[in-house]
Amino acid sequence: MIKGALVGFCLFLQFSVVAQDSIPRFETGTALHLHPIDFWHTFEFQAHLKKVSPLFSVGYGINRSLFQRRFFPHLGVEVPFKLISTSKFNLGVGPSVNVYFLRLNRAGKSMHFWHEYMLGYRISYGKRWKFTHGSAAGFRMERFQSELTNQAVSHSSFSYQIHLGVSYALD
Amino acid sequence: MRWINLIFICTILVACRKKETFPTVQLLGHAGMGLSQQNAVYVDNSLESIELALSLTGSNGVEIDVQFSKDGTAWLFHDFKLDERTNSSGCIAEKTDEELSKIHYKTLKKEKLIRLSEILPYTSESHIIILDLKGFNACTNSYLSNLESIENELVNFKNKCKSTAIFCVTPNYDWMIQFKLIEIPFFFETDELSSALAAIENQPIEGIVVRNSKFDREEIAQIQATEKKVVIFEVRSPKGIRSALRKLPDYLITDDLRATIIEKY
Repeated sequence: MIKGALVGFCLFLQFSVVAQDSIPRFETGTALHLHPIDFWHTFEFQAHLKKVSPLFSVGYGINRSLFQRRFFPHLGVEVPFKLISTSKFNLGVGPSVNVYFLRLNRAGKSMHFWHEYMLGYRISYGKRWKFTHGSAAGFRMERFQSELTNQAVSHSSFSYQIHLGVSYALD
Repeated sequence: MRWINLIFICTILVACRKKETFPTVQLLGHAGMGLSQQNAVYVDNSLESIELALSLTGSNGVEIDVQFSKDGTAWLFHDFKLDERTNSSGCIAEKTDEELSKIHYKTLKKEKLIRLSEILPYTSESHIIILDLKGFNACTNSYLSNLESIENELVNFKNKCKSTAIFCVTPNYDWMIQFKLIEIPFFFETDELSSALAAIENQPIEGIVVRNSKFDREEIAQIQATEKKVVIFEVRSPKGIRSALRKLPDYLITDDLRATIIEKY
């Protein structure tokens, strides 16, 4: 089901890109996210197409990476569909997928993986320099190999995130 | 773009710095994966929470809250009353096993209340199980007096459990000394060093359970010098976890098991 959704998402994105008749605009930025697992700091790259503004982010968990000195990377893709789009204000709603992973125990072999599927909104305000805000809710899957039972363990739970950031329009 | 790369590289470097380890401290999940923790996944004292805590590499066991039903069976539940967090009301001690088996938590996943015996399949020889005995009945405002029944229930659990390290905890000294069967070692919970040392002198207890904020390293060492063990609890934030680990207790009961495993290893 997840593979089907990902294929559908890629096809839709491709279709959206092919259907554009205007030159896309790009933005880069950074944001801080409030999240149950950690506070995330992400670096983002967004393309503004006709109907959607896909965003790719890479980041790290602040608590784990900086205060606990265990690098906790985060990768994300968001596809907000434009509801309001003016020269200064943008509002979009859409799905996002996030993946992060962490080795809890350096003495062990097991890596913990999380993948997250959420729906939310994204707002940006400004012309060249923009203030961004968004939030999303959905569910999160955690998966790891138990070294005690030698079996894969997976759990799902409700997840959410709220973020604030700044971005810069590159053109 | 250069400054973004620089920040990223600096983060990785900071994250990969060598850090101290604490090989002698054993980690236990508080009521499973933690009490009132956002990232605990399941509610405290549920079977799912305990199973997850025991399956994490680096976790040495769990501390769970034990109360006794009207039928004398041991059930796992933290609060004095059922009202706030479940679809029922009253106290565990006032309910029969049949009534308790229908109760669930008011959470998204509606985890059920479980008997102590239900965790038996998830324990192993390497696990430590600490049973926090909640002997106070808030509905009658008194401590449970059917001690023989309680002891039989606990010894029955101990005989069936694969874990060889099972301990009981209580903060009520007068109630603790009434237990005649000493097959299961007791820890005494206290906030004062003088009370801890007095309990050690007067009772054959295994050790002392203390809050992280109430005892420093010297006081813990003083207790350990009497050849008794020390358990620290009430540990949540990474800063709190680090301070608790540095006190070198024998056991650390943590509300954030994942963060504690990261700190220890």
